[in-house]
Amino acid sequence: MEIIDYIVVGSGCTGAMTAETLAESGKRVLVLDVGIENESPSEVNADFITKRYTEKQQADFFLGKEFEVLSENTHPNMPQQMAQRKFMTELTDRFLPVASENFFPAESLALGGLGNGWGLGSCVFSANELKKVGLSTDLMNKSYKIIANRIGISGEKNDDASTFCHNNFIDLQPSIKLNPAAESLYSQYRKKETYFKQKKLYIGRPALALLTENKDNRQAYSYKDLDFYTNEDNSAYRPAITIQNLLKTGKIEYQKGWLALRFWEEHNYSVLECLHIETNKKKLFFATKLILSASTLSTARIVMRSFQKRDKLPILCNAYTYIPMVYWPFIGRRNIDKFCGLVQLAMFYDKNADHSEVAMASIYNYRSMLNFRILKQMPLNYADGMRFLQLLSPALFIAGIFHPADYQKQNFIQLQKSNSLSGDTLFTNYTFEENEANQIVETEKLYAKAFYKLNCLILSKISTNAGASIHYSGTLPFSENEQLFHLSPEGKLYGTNNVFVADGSGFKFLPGKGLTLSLMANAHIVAQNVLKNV
Amino acid sequence: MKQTMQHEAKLFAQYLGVKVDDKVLLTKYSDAIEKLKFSLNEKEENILRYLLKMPFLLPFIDGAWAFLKPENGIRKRILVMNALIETQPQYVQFFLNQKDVPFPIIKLIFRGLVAVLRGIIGVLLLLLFGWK
Repeated sequence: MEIIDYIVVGSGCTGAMTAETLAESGKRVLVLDVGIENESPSEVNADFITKRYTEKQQADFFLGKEFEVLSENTHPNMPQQMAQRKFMTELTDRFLPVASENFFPAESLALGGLGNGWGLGSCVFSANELKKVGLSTDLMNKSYKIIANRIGISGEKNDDASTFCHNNFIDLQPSIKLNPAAESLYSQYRKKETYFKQKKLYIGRPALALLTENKDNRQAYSYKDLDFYTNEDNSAYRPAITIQNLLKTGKIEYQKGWLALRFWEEHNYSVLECLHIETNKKKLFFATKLILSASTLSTARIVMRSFQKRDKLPILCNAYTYIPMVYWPFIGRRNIDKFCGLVQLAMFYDKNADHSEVAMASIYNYRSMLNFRILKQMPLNYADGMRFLQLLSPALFIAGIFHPADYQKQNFIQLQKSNSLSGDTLFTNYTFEENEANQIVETEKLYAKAFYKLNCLILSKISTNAGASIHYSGTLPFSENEQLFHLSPEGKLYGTNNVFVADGSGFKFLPGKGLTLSLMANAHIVAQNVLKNV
Repeated sequence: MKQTMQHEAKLFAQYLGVKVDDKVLLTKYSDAIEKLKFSLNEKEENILRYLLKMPFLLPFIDGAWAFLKPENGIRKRILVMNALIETQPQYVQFFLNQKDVPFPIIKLIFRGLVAVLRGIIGVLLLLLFGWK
């Protein structure tokens, strides 16, 4: 029997950061993962415009060799997924089955997990938000800085969004250059700033986990506008970069193909039972300390199986609305070569004016996802719609609004026995109480008015199904009191001696701002606590 | 490629404004429909047969379905053709403006009005033919 110092389950954003912190101790770290990879990553030798004008085989690139992008068999909450990112959700229906009428979370068994599709928005949580989440402000602010230095974050130091994005706690590379339409939209905001501030709305440049200057062996972003298809020169941070670097330098071990099922403790070590996804054989791994960072829902599955209880666990998920709109001054404009498909601007709504319940809209220029996806949703015949959209597309923006989420008693997850390969299915329920639903509608209206004020014509307001934000947390809440299915503030799972949870399971509140940077910062703190032998 | 599939592909390509002798495109269309399993029900098959004989009706009928039945099987297939055309370099000018378009708002309003008018006529035709 071989006992490894630290076993980390999962290789997503939190798993990667946990592994990196633990590896700094020089002890033996094993990352266990299903680890599905993109078998045929696309080669990029041109920017979007050159590709569109010259490449004969571009249909394979943009639609997928099996026309996956046109398929109707997509994940209900990831209908716009590119062929290049299909690997992210591969096999989840077999190994992570979900039964629900209203909540279909997106999960991943890929190397790098859902971090492969992260929009790169990197916001720190305010002191008020951290308090509600259950995290220490001092520790998190220090950790944000460390994580930012590891992954590389670009952004604007001083604009109206900076207090929401980074509050100057982290070192920043210069912000990305705005696309001309976004630049123009932003200048509209500057002219009407007073109106927006009266409404507690603030627009600025979001901080992004995207390099605008070279860092280590990664290159600065090159504005090829193929951001949803490839990650050229690793300019965007993806957790697989960390895992591969740690592997190259021999700081960690990595075993793929293993789905963690359950754990138990014996003497002074933990035993982890895993299922091999190809052979369906089970194997036991032994660790002095076990760190679960498989994602909020996967970790909950492992813990529920391990405690052999069929309790209902709470769950948090940001409601998500998206608003396609037309910025009319740019209708009929020519297309330019250097362009960025990533989030251009962020609009924050600070409802209580104290950074405690902030909603965020990420504003994207729409181009590289191709016109046919929009055309499909237009109530026009396709031939006229095609010409209509040609004029419209340079002016198209999509705003994705994340609403903050608090616990609601009707929302839960529960593991039920089934004939699935893991022996169970996750039953989920997620609905919005009247108050929350009304607040969401009010926020949507406020944003719609604000965009109208910026000369945007709203095409529609689309309230998505619960789960579409792909932000989940709160299944094993932080607690000062020792109780089952809760975490200590240090991230240790109550009821165990050596099991820690380093993902978002403990977060008791989900701010509307993107949570990924905070997940990584918390994972670093948990890993430090593991090393301190808390 | 089946004869009917070829006719159908030509009909949709022509409708979207593309030359009908592009064999690569026609083959790709057939391949896509097969892989995506976008089959038509009996009623849709019948309507498609009529449309193949009377292609001038397609903009109207398609416009009416866009309002009334956007998930119609024939519309799904037209969208496949649209996506294929969008990803062929020779047709890129239908999707991306190389230069600033003069009087864009007027053109946009005109396009929109034409499309809406076709949709309204299409609804009347659907009622007339009993294809609703």
